[in-house]
Amino acid sequence: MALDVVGKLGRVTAAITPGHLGEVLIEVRQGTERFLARSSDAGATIPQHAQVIVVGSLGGRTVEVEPTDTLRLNS
Amino acid sequence: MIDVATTVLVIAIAVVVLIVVGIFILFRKAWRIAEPDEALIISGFRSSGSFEGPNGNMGFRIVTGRGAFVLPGVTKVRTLSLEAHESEITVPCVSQQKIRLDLRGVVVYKVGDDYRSIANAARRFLDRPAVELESKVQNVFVGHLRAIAGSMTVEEMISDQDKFAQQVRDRCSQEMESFGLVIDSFQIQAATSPSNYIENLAVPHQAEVEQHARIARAIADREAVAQEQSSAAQIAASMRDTEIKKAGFQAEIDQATQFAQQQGPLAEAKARQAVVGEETRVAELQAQQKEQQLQVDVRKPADAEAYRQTTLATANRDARIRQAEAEAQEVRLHAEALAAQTKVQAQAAAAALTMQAEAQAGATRLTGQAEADATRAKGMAEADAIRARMEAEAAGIERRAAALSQNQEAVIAQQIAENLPEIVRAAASSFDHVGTFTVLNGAEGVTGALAQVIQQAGALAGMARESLMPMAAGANGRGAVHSNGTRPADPVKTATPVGPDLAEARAGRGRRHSIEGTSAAGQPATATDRPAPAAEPASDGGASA
Repeated sequence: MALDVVGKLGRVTAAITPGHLGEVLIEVRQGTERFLARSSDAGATIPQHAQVIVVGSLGGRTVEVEPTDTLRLNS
Repeated sequence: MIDVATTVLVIAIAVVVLIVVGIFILFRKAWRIAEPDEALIISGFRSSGSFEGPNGNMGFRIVTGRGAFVLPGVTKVRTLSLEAHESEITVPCVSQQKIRLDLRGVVVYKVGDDYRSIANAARRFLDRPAVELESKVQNVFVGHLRAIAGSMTVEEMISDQDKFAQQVRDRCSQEMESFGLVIDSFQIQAATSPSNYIENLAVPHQAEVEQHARIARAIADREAVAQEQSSAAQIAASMRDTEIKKAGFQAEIDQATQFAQQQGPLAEAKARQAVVGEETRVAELQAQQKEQQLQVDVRKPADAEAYRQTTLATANRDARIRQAEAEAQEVRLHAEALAAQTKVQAQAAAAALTMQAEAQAGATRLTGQAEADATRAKGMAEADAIRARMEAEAAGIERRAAALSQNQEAVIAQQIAENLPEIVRAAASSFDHVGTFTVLNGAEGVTGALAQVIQQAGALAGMARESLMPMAAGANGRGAVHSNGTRPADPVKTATPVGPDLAEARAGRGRRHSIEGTSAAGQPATATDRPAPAAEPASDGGASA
């Protein structure tokens, strides 16, 4: 299931800090679902309300996210 | 035949219809539609290959939001509700500060919308009652909530929502994932402390708020009261002004009213004044008229009468004066004549008296001479007698002085004896001022007092004797000096006062005689040696007569 959301954009509802899971809100089937989130960069902190892109699934309801602004910089 | 054919046709149609209906009914029975809030879990025939996950076949089919053809008897369909459930959790726990708390939280959860969650949930809770799900969730959350509370302070639990949510995520996500549940919300509804910790936390703030409220209320009250008072004062001031103005207007009204009321009597009085003035003038004129009339009727006749009487009186007086003058003249002449007559008579009487007095003087002179001779002879005889007696006394005194020179004490005693009554009187004089002489001892006391008086007198006598002692000694000494021939001179000296006394007595007698003579001056017959004064009064008397 978590694979379905890979590549989708989401919004951070609880800040992602190193060592702690955050929470992101992702659109699923015209609705929104909350997923636990971890940063792809382990030491990074993603503040609340930041837009993220789901880059991978960690199984279950936990996804790996990356801030979109860093993505934009990379591309 | 036709009938048979039609009958067969009808039957065939009916059968077809029945078959169609039956097929429809069967289809309706086999076609199941999932509601939006539920998932169909289809197990049985041809249900295993529909979903291929990365981790292999899950063994049943999950249908959400669409229909699925179910062959009755071959496959089995169950529904799993995707509704949200609510569960209330009450847990006694201890906070990070070891404060005992009773937390009441509410967790809202649902089965996740993804197939994995539905599959997990279906494996665990399918065909179980909701209560069982709830109790399971509760049991999980009680433990987690206790652990979370133990890692947070009370203040954080109340205020720091993010940290709480973080803790919930960190601890509960794994179990919830395995249950296929998603936590929609987890809130602490109430935190009560049996030790009133939370209430006490609020106390300072509450007190501060209360204080501010009271201050604000007090300030507001004060301002309100000040405003009220000032407005009341303004009202009073304006009322006062109004009253003052009213009073002023009333006074003006009263004044005007009084003035108006006085106008009538005033006008009347003025009119009356004018009338009285006219009347007064009339009266004055009448008085003038009457005066004039009186002038004519009374005064002029009176003046005439007065003049007449004055003239008459003057004439009368003149006549009387003349008469009096004539009478005075007459009297004077008469008196002169009488005086001349009296003078002649008096001269004659004086001549007679003179002659008579001369005769008496001659007689008296002769008698006086005879008496003087007799008296001289008698005086000579008395003088001789006195001289003889004095000589005798002088001799006695001389002899006594001689004796005194020999026995002074005797003389002093004699003198004292002579003067003793006076001495005693002097001693007694101290009792003169004594009003009442109270003697306390009775008869004995009287005797004692008298004895004291006498003793005092004796003492005085002794004093007198002592005082006389030097004199006596002086006299003695002098006597010793003139012991030969001059001793008789002293008695003579002491006796000389007797002589003048006698002479004075004699002279006094003579003088008294002469005084008698002057006092009897009015009687010429007794005047022996002074005839002139007797004559003068006689002439005076004649003049006054």
